[in-house]
Amino acid sequence: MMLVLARKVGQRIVIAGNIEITVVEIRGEQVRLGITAPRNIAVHRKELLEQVTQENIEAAATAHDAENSISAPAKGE
Amino acid sequence: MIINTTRFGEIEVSDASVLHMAEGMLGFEWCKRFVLLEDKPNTPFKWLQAVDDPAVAFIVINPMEFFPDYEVELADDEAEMLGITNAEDAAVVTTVTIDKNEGCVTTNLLGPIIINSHDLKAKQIVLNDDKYGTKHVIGQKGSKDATLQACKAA
Repeated sequence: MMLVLARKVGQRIVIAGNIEITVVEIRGEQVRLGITAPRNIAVHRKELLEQVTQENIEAAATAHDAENSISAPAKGE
Repeated sequence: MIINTTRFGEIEVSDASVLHMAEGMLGFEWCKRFVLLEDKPNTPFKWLQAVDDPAVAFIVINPMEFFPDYEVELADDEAEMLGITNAEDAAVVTTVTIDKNEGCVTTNLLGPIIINSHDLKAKQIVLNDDKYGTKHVIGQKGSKDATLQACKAA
C-alpha cells in the first residue's frame, strides 16, 4: 500500500521522526527533493540500485560462461 | 578452509583470505563471504568466488588499471561500516561482463566493491555520480583495438 501526500514547494515530509524530505523545486515533469537523514540511512535513486543488481546478474552469467575466454585459476590456489 | 565451487571444484583457501560482505552483492544477498582467486598470470582478471554458494562467481578487475582517473567517494556511513579512514586502507574491484553478441568486455564503475585491505570487510556500493555507469568498455573478446571501436561506439 502506498500513502500519497500532496505537497507544495518548500513543504516537507518527516519519516520516523528523523528523515526529512523537502520538495525543493518543481520544473515541468521533474521534482527536486532534498533529503535529510541520519548517516546510517542509505539514500539512493532506485533505478541505480536496479541497474547495479541487473549488472551483477549479467556479470555472474559472464563468469559462468567464461570458460573459453578467461582461464580458470589452478585448483588449490 | 576448503570451499566447494561449481567452476573450480574444491579449493583450499586460508581463512584469513575470506572477504566478509555483511550485505552480500546486490541481487546475491545470500552470498556474504567471498574469496579473490588469481586468474592465470598476465591477465588483469581475478575471480570473486562466493564461499556460500558454489555457483556464484564474478570476474573482477582493478578499475584503476583501466581508468586511472576513476574516483570512488565513500559516504561517511560506508567508510565507518568498512572501517576505512583513508584511501590506502581500501582496495577497489569492479565486476566484468562480456556482451554475448559483440563480445564487448565492460566493467561496472557504478557499483564498485570496496575492500578494507586490513580486515577484508567488503561492501558493494552504488555511487551517486552521473559520470559512472554499469558498462564501461575495457576490451573486446578475441580481438585487438581495431574492432574495439564498435564497442566504444555502442
